[in-house]
Amino acid sequence: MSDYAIKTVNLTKRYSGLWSKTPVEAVKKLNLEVHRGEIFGFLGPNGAGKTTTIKVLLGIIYPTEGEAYVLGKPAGDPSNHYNLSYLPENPYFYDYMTGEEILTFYARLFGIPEPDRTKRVRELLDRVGLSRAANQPIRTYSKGMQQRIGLAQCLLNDPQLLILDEPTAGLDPIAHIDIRDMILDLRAQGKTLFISSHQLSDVERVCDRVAILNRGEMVKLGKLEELLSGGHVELIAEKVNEGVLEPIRNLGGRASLHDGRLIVEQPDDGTIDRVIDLVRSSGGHVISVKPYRRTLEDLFVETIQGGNRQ
Amino acid sequence: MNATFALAGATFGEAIRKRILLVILLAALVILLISPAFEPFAGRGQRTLVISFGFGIIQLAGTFIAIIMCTGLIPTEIERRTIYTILSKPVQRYQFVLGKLLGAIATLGFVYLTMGLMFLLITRWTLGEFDPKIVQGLIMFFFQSSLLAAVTLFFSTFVSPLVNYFLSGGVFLMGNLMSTFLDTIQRNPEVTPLTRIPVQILTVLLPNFANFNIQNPIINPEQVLTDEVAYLVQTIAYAVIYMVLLLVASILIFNQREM
Amino acid sequence: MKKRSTGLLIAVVALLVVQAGLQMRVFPLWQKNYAPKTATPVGLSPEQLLVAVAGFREFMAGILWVRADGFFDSGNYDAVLPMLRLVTWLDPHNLDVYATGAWHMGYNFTDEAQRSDRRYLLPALKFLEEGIQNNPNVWDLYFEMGWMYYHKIQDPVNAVPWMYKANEFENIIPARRHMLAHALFKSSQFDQAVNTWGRLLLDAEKERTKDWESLNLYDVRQKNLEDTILDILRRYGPNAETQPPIDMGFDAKVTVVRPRVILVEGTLNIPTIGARVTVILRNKGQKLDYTPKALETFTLEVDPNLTYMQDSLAVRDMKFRREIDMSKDPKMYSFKAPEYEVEFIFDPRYASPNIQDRIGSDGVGMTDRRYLDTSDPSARMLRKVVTITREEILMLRRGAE
Repeated sequence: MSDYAIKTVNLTKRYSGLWSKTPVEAVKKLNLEVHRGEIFGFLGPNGAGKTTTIKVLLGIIYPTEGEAYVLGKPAGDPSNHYNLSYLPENPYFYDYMTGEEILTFYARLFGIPEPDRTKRVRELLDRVGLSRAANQPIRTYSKGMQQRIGLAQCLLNDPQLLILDEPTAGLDPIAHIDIRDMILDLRAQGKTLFISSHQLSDVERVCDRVAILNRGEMVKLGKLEELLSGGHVELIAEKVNEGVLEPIRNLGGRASLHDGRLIVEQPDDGTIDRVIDLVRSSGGHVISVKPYRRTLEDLFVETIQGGNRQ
Repeated sequence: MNATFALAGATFGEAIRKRILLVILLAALVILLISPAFEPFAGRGQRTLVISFGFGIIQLAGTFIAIIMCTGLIPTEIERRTIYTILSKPVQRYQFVLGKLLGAIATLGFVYLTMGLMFLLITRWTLGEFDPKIVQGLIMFFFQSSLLAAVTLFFSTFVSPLVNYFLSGGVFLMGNLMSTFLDTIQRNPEVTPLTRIPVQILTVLLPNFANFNIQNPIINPEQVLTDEVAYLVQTIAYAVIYMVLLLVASILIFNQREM
Repeated sequence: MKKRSTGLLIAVVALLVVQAGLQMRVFPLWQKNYAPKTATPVGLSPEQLLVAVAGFREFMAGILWVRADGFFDSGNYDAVLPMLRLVTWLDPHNLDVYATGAWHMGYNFTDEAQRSDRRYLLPALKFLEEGIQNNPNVWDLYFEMGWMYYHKIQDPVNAVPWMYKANEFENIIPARRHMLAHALFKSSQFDQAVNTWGRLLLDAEKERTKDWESLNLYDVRQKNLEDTILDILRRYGPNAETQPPIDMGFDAKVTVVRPRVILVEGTLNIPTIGARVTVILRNKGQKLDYTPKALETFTLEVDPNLTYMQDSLAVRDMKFRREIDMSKDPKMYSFKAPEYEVEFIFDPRYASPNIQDRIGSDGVGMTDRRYLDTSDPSARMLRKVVTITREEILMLRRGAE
């Protein structure tokens, strides 16, 4: 069990509203295993149950059914909190405080004694590139700077596990890259990162594994390469004889022919060579061959739509 | 404990920067400053005017500041999600609630200190004397406001700020009236036990805010009080115990609370 | 992982019990020291209550008191009483309100140039009594009460206990202590009066050298003691000047001259000047009882159908005569009762010293064939009561002769 940074077993969370009789099932029988040292992408549209799951992991709310373990201990175990950190989505800090003051405040919550506290705070300000803004009130910070302060407060305790909720939400593209680099840097240090997001373009590049959550249920889980494999190659040819259409279709792709113009969508499994051979043997003329890689976005949309159709 | 004090400090730092609270405090200070100008309303006694009016303003400001500050303490943390960064640290929920209450009390201490100094200055200036009894009165009102803060904080663990305004205000009003009410009932032989007993129970259960209003003998210094020291000590002990009671109850609810 | 809460629940219950215990201990002390004690806040609006529970209690009382004072001055007495109720409820320890309020009621309500309405004396006494209940540890209101009996009601016997009570306080203004001796003397307790002066003199002697005021106080007391002893010797000693008693030849009659206007006249054979005869017109049999017992059930309200007119007539050349006009104010003189009585009293206790030298302050040196009244143990008085009907006063028939 301690191989996992996070493990949930049939985790279910139902909210029974004060006024409505029927409870809302935010998370349904979720089984999650996050290995130590990996970047785990926890994906899903808004309202999929990501934040609910995270709150259970942090012990802020309690599971209705099932179990959740963090760093080998039940979620909410007080000793866990020395070894994990959490960055909520769009956090607002006590914005009258300066960057240095807020980090000192959080360091005191960790019980880091002086003089280590000051040293650690300075170090982290340096690390997130806010040394020069250390004595400015947070309310003067840009969104990106606030997010970096948020990350810095996550690192105060040198955690084994970081849980980041939408870490790039609302940031400009340059700040995205900053955060992404920091995430990679943290993995290099052997930390586990659990990143929830509904923004895909950045995360897909750094996650080792992702889980896709929809309506409280896990609909997909796996290594990124595996999930993204199975793109296709598009071939366009002219002056193609109608007789080859049938053999080409038998190779497993989708093919259409109009006025001698052939368009083939062939799975990316090497069979495209044989399609080309067939075209040429029938006297056709290949105009273009273009590979289409599957993106996480495609996967995401396919998965969610597929899930919602059911 | 360090975490608790850090939370108290942050709460204090935030509260004293809250515009609405500063406006109330400033208004109270200005009214205190000009209170001697109301003398024509005061009948014969300038002492009555300056002391009663001053205490009135201070209590009113203290009450509003306590309620307005404490309705928001916990809900705001949840709303802006700072509470998640705090509770995901090695901070117990009771530490969070305790830190909030201590921060609120520290803020009230600051507020009372400011208003109290102004008040002492005004009384020194208009009455030509420094009356240490005024400090006594101020301390009692400080405890009254602190108790009210604990009441409001308690309600804030399970009701919305808007509801809390009315709830806390209502409890404050009731807690101020119950003693007089019971006193009146006890003096009236026609009241049946059916009426008297519920009033007695309510008086004993509700936080009693009337206990802290000791300004009358300060305004009318001829009065001789029985067991004054015992009264003050017991009333302060009462405030502290009731605050601990509310704190424990708040923690009890907050521990179960899902955010 | 839900936190276990049994322990906390037990703590809450335990603390609830502890605070309840403390509250029950504090409550009696609160009642004693800080509660508004008498009047109930009947008729208070919610806003007034709100103000009352906030710190503005005494401030509010102060403002209302200014208003009440204004009503006193304009003679709007009906408006004053409810306001006094409110003021003293809000600030039950404002001695000024009790003392001044009672003074207004007792003096200004009752006797002014154009009015005489003794009905308000009882509310004044009642008001003072309430003030005393609220402020039992202060001498002022005991003294005010004593003074009301001594001076306004001219009942020195009932003034004595209040003056004794006021004298028990260390911090009473020294000259105020003298009133006890005066009240004792007027109620014919001569031994006690002398004793009191003697004791006061001894007190003053101790501090005589302190300052000029103390010396002055000593001198005043010494002179009073000597005068009292001399008066007693002159009036009651061997060869007392009060003997033999003179026949006062007291008589009086009432004539209705116009509706609600009566002429009172009579004779009193007293040779020196300065004697006064008191005349009272009231509903028949409705003599006002000022004794402390009567106050137990009395309220501040006055009976609108009751009339209690009192006047004091100077005696010149052994005659007195005055026309009394009661046509102006039907609130005081409703004349709704079928019968009224007019009482004429000569009370030697409040006569001038030169008269007292002849007849004694207790009336030992006077007699009268018809109207000598010996019912009051403290003094012999002259008293005549005439009955007059409503018809007669309103001149619905021929007036009484």
